Amino acid sequence: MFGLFRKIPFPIALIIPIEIVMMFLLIFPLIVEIWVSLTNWTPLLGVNWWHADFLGFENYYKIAIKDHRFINAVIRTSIIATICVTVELGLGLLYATLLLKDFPGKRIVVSILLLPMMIIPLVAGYNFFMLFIENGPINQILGFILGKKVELHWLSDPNLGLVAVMIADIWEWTPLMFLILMAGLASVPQNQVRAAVSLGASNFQIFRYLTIPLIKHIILIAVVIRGMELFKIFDVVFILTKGGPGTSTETISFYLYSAGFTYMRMGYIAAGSFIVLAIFLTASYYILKPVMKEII
Amino acid sequence: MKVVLEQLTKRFDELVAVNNLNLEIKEGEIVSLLGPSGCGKTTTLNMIAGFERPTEGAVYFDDRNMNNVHPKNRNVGMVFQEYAIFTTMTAFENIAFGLRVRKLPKTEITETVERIAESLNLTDTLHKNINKLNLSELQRVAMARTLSTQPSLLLLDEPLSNLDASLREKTRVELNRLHDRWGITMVYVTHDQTEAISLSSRIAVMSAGKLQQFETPEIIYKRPANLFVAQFIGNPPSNILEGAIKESEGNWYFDTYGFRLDISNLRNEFSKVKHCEKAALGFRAEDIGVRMSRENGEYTAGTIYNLELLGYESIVDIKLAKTIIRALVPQNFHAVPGDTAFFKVTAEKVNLFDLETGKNFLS
Amino acid sequence: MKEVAYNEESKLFGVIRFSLIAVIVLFTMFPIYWMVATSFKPVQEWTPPKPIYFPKDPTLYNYKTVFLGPGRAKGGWWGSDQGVRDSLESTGAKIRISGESSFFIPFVNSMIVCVTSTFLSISIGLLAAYAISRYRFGGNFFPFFILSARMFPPIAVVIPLVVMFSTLRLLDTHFGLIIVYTGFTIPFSVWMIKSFLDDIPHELEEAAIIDGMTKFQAIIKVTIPLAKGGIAATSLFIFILNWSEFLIAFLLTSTRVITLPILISRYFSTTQGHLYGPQAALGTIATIPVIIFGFMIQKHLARGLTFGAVKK
Repeated sequence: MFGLFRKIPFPIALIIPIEIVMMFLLIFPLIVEIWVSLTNWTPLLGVNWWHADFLGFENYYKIAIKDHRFINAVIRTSIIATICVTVELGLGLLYATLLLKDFPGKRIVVSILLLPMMIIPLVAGYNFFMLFIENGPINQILGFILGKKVELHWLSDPNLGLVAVMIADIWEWTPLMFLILMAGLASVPQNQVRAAVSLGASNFQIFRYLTIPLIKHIILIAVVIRGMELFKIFDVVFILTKGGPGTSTETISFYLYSAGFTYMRMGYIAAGSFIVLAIFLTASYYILKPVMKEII
Repeated sequence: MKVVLEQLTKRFDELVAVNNLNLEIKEGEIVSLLGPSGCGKTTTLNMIAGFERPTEGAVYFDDRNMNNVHPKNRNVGMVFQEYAIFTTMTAFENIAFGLRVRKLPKTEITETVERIAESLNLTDTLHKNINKLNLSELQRVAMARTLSTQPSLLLLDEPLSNLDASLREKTRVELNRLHDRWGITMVYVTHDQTEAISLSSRIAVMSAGKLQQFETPEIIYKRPANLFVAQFIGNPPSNILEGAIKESEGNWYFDTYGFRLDISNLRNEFSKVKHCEKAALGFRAEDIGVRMSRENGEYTAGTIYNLELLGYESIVDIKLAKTIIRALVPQNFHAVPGDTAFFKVTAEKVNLFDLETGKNFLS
Repeated sequence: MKEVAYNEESKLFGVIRFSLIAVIVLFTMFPIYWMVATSFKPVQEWTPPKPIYFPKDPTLYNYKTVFLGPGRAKGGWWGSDQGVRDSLESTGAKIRISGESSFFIPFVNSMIVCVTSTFLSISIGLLAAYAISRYRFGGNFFPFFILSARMFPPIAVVIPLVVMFSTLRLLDTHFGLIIVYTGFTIPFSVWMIKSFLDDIPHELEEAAIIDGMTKFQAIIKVTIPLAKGGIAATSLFIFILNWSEFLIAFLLTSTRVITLPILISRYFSTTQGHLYGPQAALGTIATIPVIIFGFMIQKHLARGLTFGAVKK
C-alpha cells in the first residue's frame, strides 16, 4: 500500500487533502445548488431535492427582474459595501500613517487598535445596539457636541439604521485595513524615498507619486477581501435592525435568510445567490486584473 | 560649490559613528570617503545630504550652515548603491521626477529629459518600463535622474559595488567624463581603494569614525599618515616589520631580528625621526628587490613561502623570522617554497612608524 | 521657526499626531469599554434616561447569571422588575429546553469546534500553500478559485449542506461543524500561508537536502520554523473567523451543539426588554479567549496580514 503512495508525485500528494475538502464542501454543494436553482424545490414539498420540478431559468428571471426587494437589497448592499470599504481604507491609511514612526508605547497602541477585529461581530452589534438606543451614549455625546438635545432614532429610522450598521462595521473592520496598510507602508524601500527627497519632493509628493503606486496592489487586495465580506454582511444587521424598519435595511444575506425562512423557496434563493456570486466575481476580476502578476 | 565639514560628530546612543571630522572640499573636486565597513563614511555622507542631523559640528555649503536645511532643499544629487530607481515609473518618468516635483512646465521637462538622455545614450530606452532595462542602462538612468536638477553637489554611495569588473571600469570612465563635462563637486563613498585612487583628486581615509588622512592619492600611497592607512591602502598592502630605530656612530638604523636597514639618508631629510624602541618599518612590495643569490651585504636572507602568478608580474612571499614579506617580482622569476631568497629594500621609499601612536615619522 | 531635519518632526506635528492617536484610541475603546462597564451594572443602570458611564453600583450578578444560566439566576437581586424577571424566565426556558442553562457548554462547544477546525484548516492549507508556492500548482486559476469560495453568500451554501448533512447524519454534530468551518476558512489559510512561504528562498531547503535530509524533513525542519510567524498570524486570524461565526452554526445546528455566538443571539431574542447586563457579561467573556490567544502568539506576529501582496 505504501508503495502506491510513493508513486504519487509530491505536489499532487500535497493537494489531495484540500481537494477532498473542496470537493465535499464546495464543488458538490455547488452542483446541487445549481440544480436546485433551476427547480422549484422547497422542503415543504416533502420530496427529495432531486424530485423537484425543473423550472429552467424562471427563478433567475423572477428574482433578478421582478423581485424588488431583492434588487433593493443588492443595491443597498452595494452602497454599504462601497461606502464602508472606502471609509475603512481611508481610516486605515490614516492610522498607518500616524503610526509610522516609533514612539514609546507604540506596541500597546497598536494592540488596542486591533481589538475591534477580535470581537465577535454579533457582540459588536449588540454593543452598538446599546450605544445607539434613544437614551444611549451616542445621542448624549452628539447632543453635548452640538449643544442641543439629540434624540435620533438610530435603530428605527430607515436611513439612520443603515448608517448605524455602517458605523458598526467600520468600527470593527478598520483595524484590518490598518494592519494590511501598515505592512504595506513598511515595505516601501527607504532608498527610493530618500532618492525622492533628495530630488526635492515634499512628503505629499512622495506619497502620491511613490508610495501609492508601490502599494497599489496591496490596497486592491484589501479592497477585494473586505468587499467580499461586506457583500455577505449579516450578523450586525441581524442584531441592530433586523432588516427594518420593514425592509429598509435589508442586506442580501438578510433577505435570503428571511425569504428562506418565510417562504422556504430554496431554488429561488439559490438563484439569487448565484447572481450575487456572478456580480462579485466579475467586479473583483476587473479590480484585480491590473495587478494580478504581483499577487500570484 | 565647496563643502566644509567642521567638527562633524554623530552619536547614536553609545556609538560614536563620526568623531570630530574636519574636511574642506574644494569646488569641483572629487573626494572619496574611503574606509572599511563601519568607519562612518556613509553616516558622513548622510549628514552632508541632510538625512542625519549632526550631533555636534556643522556642514557648510559655500559658507552656509546647512544643519537646519531639509534635504529636499539642499539641491544635492544622490546616487545610491542599488540605484533606488523608482520601480513604478518608466525611465523617462524617473529622470523627469526632480523636474516634475518642481512643477516645471511639461515642455521644458520633456526637453531637459531628452537632452540628458541623449548625453547618456538613453534615448531608446526612455519609454520602456524599468524592469526591462539592463544594469548598465539602469545605472545611466540613475545618473540622468540625479543630474536633471543640475545639483551643485553630487553624493555617491558605493555606486560601483554591485557591478562586475568590466562594467565597473566602464562606469569609472563614464563618471570621470561626466565630471569633466559638468564640473560638479563630488563626494564618493567606497570601501574599494582602487576606485578611490583612480577617481579622486583627494581621498579621506576613515576608520572608526575618525579621519586618518586627507590627501591626494599619491601622497596617501607614498606617505601614509599612520599604520592604518599604510595597511589599508595598496594591493598588496604595505609590508610592516616591527623593530627599533637606533643610532650608532652617527648612522641611523632600523633594526629587527634578521634584518637591518640603514636609514641615515632618511633621517637627514626628516628630522622627526628619533630613537624608538617600538617602531615599525613600512615598505611596499614594488620597492623590494629579490634575488636568488646574495649579491652583496645589502641583501638579507629569507625563505620562500609562496609564489603567486599575477600575469605580467608575480608576488612572492618571503618568510623572515616570524613575519612574511610580500614582494613584486618579474614574470620570469622562478622559485619554490623552501628555497632561500635574498631581498633588499629601497631605503628611500620606506616609511617609519611609531608603534605606540601608529603615526608616521615622515609625514 | 527652526526647520526640522529629515526624520524628526516639529513639535506641532508631534502634538497633532498625539491628539489624533488619542482620539482614535478613544473611538476604538469606547464600545468595548461600554460593554465591560455594562457587564457590571445592575439592572436599574442599564437604560436610564441619561446614560451612566461608570457603574455606580457595580455588581457581579450579570456574570452569575451567565455562569449559572438565566433560568437558575432568577429572583434574588433583581428586585421588583417583573419585566426583567419575565425576560429572564423566558430566556431560561428557551435554553433549558435545549439542555444548557449556563454558558459553559456553549463555550466548550465553541472551543472544541474552533480549535480543531483552525488546526485542520492550517494543516491542510499549509500543504496546499506549499504546493502553490513551490510548484506554482494550478497557475493563476487555482489560487483564485480557492479564494472565490468565500464570495458565495453563506445562506446559499448552507442549503445543500443541510441536505447533505441530514443524509449523512452530520446535522447538529461537532464533527459536521468542524468540517464546514475548516472548509470555509481554508481559502484564507492557503492564501496567507502561501504568501509567507513565498518569502522563504528555495535554496535553504535545497541546502538541507544536500546535507542529507529528505524533502519532507527539509520542509519540517527548515522551512516551517522560518514560516512560524506567518503561520501564527494566520492561525489567529482563522481562529477569530471561526470563533465569530454565527449564521452557519445557527442553520446547521439546533439543540445539541450550541456554540457561543448562538447562545449570545438567544440571550438577545427575549420576549420582553433586553438583558443588557448579562448580554454584556457574556460578550466580555466571549472576547477573552481571543485576546489570550492573540497575546500568546504576539511574539510570532512578525508580519502583517497582507494576503500575499507584500514582496520583499
